[in-house]
Amino acid sequence: MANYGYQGAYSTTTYGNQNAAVEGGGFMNGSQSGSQDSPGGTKTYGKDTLRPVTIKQLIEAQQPHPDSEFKIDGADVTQITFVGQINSISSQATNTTYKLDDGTGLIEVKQWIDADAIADSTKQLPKEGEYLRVWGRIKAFNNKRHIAVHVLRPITNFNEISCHLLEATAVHLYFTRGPPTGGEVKAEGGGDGGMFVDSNGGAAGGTSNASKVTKMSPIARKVYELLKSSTQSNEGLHVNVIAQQLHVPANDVYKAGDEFVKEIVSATTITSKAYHGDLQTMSQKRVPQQSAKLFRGRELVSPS
Amino acid sequence: MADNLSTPRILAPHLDAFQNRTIRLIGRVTQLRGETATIDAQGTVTAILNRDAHLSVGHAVEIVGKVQGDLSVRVLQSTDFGAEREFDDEEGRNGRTNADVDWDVDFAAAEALVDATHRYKEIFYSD
Repeated sequence: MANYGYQGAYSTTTYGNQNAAVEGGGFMNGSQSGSQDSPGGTKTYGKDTLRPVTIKQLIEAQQPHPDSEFKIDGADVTQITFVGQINSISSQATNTTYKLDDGTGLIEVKQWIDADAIADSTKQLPKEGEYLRVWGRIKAFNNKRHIAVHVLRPITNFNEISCHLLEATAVHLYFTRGPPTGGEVKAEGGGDGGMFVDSNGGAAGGTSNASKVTKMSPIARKVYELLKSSTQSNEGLHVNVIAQQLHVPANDVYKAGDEFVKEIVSATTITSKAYHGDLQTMSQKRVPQQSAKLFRGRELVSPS
Repeated sequence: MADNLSTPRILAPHLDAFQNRTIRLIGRVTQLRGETATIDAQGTVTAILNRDAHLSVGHAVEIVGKVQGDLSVRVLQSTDFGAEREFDDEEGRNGRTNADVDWDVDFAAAEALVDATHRYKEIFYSD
């Protein structure tokens, strides 16, 4: 569940819905429709995330325009957290600058000194060679990048280093390859069984369908998750609605739709049946043939 | 830039592929002999120590060093990762549960990280 927690925070789309589906609650859905009300989203307010990263990712983070948010793997980063071994320390009047190395690169980390704070001489200062855990933000100053620290603490359990770097890898893969499948997907299948009264076939086919979806592009998977988890009428979801909910261009949704259709073409009846079950749209009496279902499948994501 | 500064995490089997590079390696100190130490990291690694290195037999250690032509590692920096408590089986777990070994270095996690480092190297190092 802790896992869900952080992944939900990264993306207000697929995971939010999925959580809602699993928990059967309206909370996540509710917060999502809230964000729909203000399309385009204003700045990063409310979008603040805390992302675990490696120092190499920080060095290579893209900044599309000066003053804009940095991007890692195409996703905006606001708050970041990482670990590093102290390479050097330089104490200045207004701040302490640490050079940290986590084995992937070196970066400067600045901790501003709070002049109002009561000096605590008993507090042990970090020493070179020690490992630190940092929470902060990326800053660019005179073409030099550094991290402005919010919180800094020494690492005493060295397993935290392995743990952090593996977590950073998991998040990197989340952004580059889409949400994890496998174990997660199985849980979804179970959720489906509870969600849809008439979906015995759907839930059973869901797993095999999910393995198909695994091979699709991240956007196709997002669309698929949305179709699966949102309630919809006989007509399915309009492409513009999908685009709006996922905050992606309508064109991408069309492409995702094409991917579905292609997968169904190459797949057996099980897939089209599962699709049917998942999407709750195709009326059986009208479209008994596979080709007809295909057409119906296309209709799903085209303007009605 | 990141290239020169990164120290990819490796284990003994990777030494050959990382000759003349600065690497980072976690292992258990098995022997200390004057200027050299033997470290177990999925295989035996010979470390040529520097003056500042304070290694202790039985402790886990993280070494930053340069891989030499003979696959020994010239130590630039070493960090003691703590004592491994008594062990007599291969994994050093000796039937203890995870809770018991909380503060020991989890070599399985460190090895998983080495695996991830080379599998998804785009976020760890560049060739």
